[in-house]
Amino acid sequence: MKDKNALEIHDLEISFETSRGTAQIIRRVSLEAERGKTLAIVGESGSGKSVTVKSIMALLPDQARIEGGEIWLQGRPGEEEPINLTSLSKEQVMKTVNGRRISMVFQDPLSVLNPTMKVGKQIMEGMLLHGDLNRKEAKERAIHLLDDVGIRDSRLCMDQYPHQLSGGMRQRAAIAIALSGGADILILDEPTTALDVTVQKKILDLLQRLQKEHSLTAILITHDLGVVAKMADTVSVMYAGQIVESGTSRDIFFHPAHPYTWGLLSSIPDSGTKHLLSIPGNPPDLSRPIKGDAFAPRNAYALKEDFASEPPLIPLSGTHSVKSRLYQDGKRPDLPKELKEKIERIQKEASHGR
Amino acid sequence: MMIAMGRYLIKRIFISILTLLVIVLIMFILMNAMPGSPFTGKHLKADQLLVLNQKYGLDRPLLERYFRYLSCMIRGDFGVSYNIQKNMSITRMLQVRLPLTIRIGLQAMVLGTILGLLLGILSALKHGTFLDPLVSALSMLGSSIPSFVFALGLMYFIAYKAGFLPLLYTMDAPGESTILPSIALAMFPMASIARLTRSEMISVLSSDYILLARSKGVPESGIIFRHALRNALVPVLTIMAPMLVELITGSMVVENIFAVPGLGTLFVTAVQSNDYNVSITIMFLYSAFYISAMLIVDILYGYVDPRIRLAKGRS
Amino acid sequence: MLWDRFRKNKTAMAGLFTILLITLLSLAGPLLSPYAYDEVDVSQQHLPPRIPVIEKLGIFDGIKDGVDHYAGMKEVYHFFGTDTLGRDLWVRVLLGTRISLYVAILAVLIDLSIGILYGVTAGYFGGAADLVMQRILEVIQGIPSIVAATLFMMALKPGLAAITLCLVLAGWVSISLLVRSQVLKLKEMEYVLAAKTLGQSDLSIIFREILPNAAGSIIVMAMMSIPQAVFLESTLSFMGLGIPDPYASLGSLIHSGFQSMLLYPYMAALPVFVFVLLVLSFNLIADGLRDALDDEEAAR
Repeated sequence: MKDKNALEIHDLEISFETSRGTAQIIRRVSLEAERGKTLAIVGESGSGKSVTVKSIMALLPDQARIEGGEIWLQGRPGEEEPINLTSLSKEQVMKTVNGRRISMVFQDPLSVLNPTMKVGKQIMEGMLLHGDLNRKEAKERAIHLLDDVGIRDSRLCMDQYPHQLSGGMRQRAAIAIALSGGADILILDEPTTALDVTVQKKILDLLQRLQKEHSLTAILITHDLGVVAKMADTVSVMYAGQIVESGTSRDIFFHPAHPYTWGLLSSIPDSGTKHLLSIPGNPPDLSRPIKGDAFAPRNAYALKEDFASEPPLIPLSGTHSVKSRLYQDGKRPDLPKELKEKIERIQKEASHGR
Repeated sequence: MMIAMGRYLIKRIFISILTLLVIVLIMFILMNAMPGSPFTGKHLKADQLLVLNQKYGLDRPLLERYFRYLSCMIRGDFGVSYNIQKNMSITRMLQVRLPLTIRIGLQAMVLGTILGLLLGILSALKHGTFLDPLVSALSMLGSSIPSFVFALGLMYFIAYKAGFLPLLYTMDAPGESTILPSIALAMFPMASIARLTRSEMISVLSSDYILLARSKGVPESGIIFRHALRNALVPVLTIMAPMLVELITGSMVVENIFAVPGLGTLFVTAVQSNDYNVSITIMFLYSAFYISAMLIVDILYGYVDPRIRLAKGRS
Repeated sequence: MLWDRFRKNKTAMAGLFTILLITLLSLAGPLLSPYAYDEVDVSQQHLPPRIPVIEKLGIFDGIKDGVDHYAGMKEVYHFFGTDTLGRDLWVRVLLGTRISLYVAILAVLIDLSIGILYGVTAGYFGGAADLVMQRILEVIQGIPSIVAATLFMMALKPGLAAITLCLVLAGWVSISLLVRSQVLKLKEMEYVLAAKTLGQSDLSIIFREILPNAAGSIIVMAMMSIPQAVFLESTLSFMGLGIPDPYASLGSLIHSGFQSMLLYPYMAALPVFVFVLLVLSFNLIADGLRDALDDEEAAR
């Protein structure tokens, strides 16, 4: 694996055993998360983004199976060799990776904290499991962490139960828990979706600050492109268990290539949009085998071949690639007019803002 | 928080005592409305009856008798038996029987709870294997069979056919004699606890906070015992009080089957021989057990689930 | 709807068919036997079960411990054997089933009527009445049901009416509490509030909006109450406080079977078998209904 990357996924394939047969949920997904940077995985619900990151931490439910591919985790700088996580058992991942190297912030802070355990204990649990701290040191560190995530009365908070905290406070506590084991990779699974709009921004600011201070690598899962724009360095767009486009944040927002990405961008509200465009149709049923391009039935730009076979992944630049036949043989089609205007408008507003 | 909880406790205890007093009053009135007095069927003449009634204070007004009864009861004096063992103090009669009944009840409760929890946890963890439907079927069957049927089965197969353990209660082996009755009584609580624990564990294990604990790298044993079990126990506690009623109901019959000289046997005898005082006393004891059990469950509930503790502390 | 979901649950349907079968048998079964439930015959005491056709398989052939107890009685068949008085147990078990079922179902129906009356009064109209009624229930809940039932059995003349009353006494509280909490919940629903603003009368709101929506959980509760009533009835009968002889309930049959169980185990075993089958079936139905209701609510 590349030295600059903290995590790489190669050709990951995951299937789910359902009552209606085996569903191919993840179909040859490859990702790279650069150390100290933020990778965003974007897609509708059911696109497989959550399953992908859960597979990294061996958190998949029993009916899921990793059919193929590799997940490489970089060793800590100057210490260890990279490890292939798919070659480890579930128990080994739990013991050596979860909490110590990689940890996760979940979507719903209401349900993610154990209701019968004090916040302090939940933070200290990870430290006592992995670190070589004693109880007193762990407690001091937990208080320090709570201060760090911006909880004002951290000593009181240690002795409180989750239901005594507000939603924003709970998410802060959940972030403290994620940091407690000393992980250097943070997976953020829709970290602000369940929060009030006013709280969302504060949590995002906090995450950005912590990422810088602790030099964390972040993998952000979201369907909210606003959050992506604020946080991400690189973006991968996911559809029906596949990556359809990936690139830098600039690539994706200013030069989107895949018709699905166009659809996603067109559906964000902004000041000048007269009517919001949403992508027609629904994501495919993955429990049936998919012939050709999974997006073709919803794609106004689909070609005849797309219904017969999968399009290839075409590199557009060193950082940008797209899975679409529109770019075959060096062709570079224009953006839809309305979207082009929207992007220009946003660019203008952004440069004004600065 | 502690102060609020303390205030709640005092309030709960006060209500419990009040309930108990009302229950005694109701029982007292009902027993007096019953056909037949302790002296019916003894072919007594009217003047003899008068003397007996005067001797036992049965000629006084109802309310006066109630308060006299209450004040004696507080001192631990439940009066004397009229019929079963004439003039024998009920407190003396209870001295052997009460510990025996409590012992059997406790053994059954502990056995049923431990086995039920184990089975429930096991089948939740083995969700999807053959063990899970097996435990479910067994616990469904277990909660459809009354304890006296288990008692008959154990008596016939274990004690009579196989010759293990005493068939009927015997003073020679008081400890061994309590084993079969305890097992018979333990089956129902075991089955209901196993059923509820299983379904609660399954839903708790699929909750987000278990995922968070796993993402922290908490080992499986920690997941089950530190995170899941406590949350799964909250609803299980709610069935503890109704279960005690089942236990009391069961013990009356099971004690009779195994001829255990306990509270249940005495109660049935007292009921059948119109012995007011003994019946009231035992009903009072059963109600007192039950009310204190509900109180204890309530306190445990608050202990296990902080959300309830705080909500109650506030109210 | 509820029925469609319920129908898909195989074990629950098995329970339903078993109940129907037992009910049918208990009504028609005595016709299949030439004996009456109170027909005492001292020449035919303690006969083991003997059933035509099946006897050829070596079971239910009237032979016990190697002795043919029917020797000399060629055309005599007691399907479940006879009791200590020589009464036919098949007929008595079916009679007992009928009485146990009748008493339990009647008691639950009365529980339901009281429960709905109570629950609606306390839950819908609320206020001081609710407060007083709740306090009363709190006290009543402190009395274990068996104690209350025993007390009343002692005060009343033993018989069907008395035992039904006792079962009602033991069962009405939980149903009342359920109806009350359902009414409290539904009262705040938007469609009820809408009906109120449209000027519908209280009675029509209760009968058209609230009760139909509470019906599902009330039915589940009622189904769960039936086996409990059967349980309690059998316990009372076992204590000698049940149906007086020559009538019988499953509980009293098990009780008399128990007394000669060591010598004639079939006398207790057969009523126990029917009893367990009955209660198990009711529990399966209740479980299936509850699951169907949960699914229904989740789907909404």
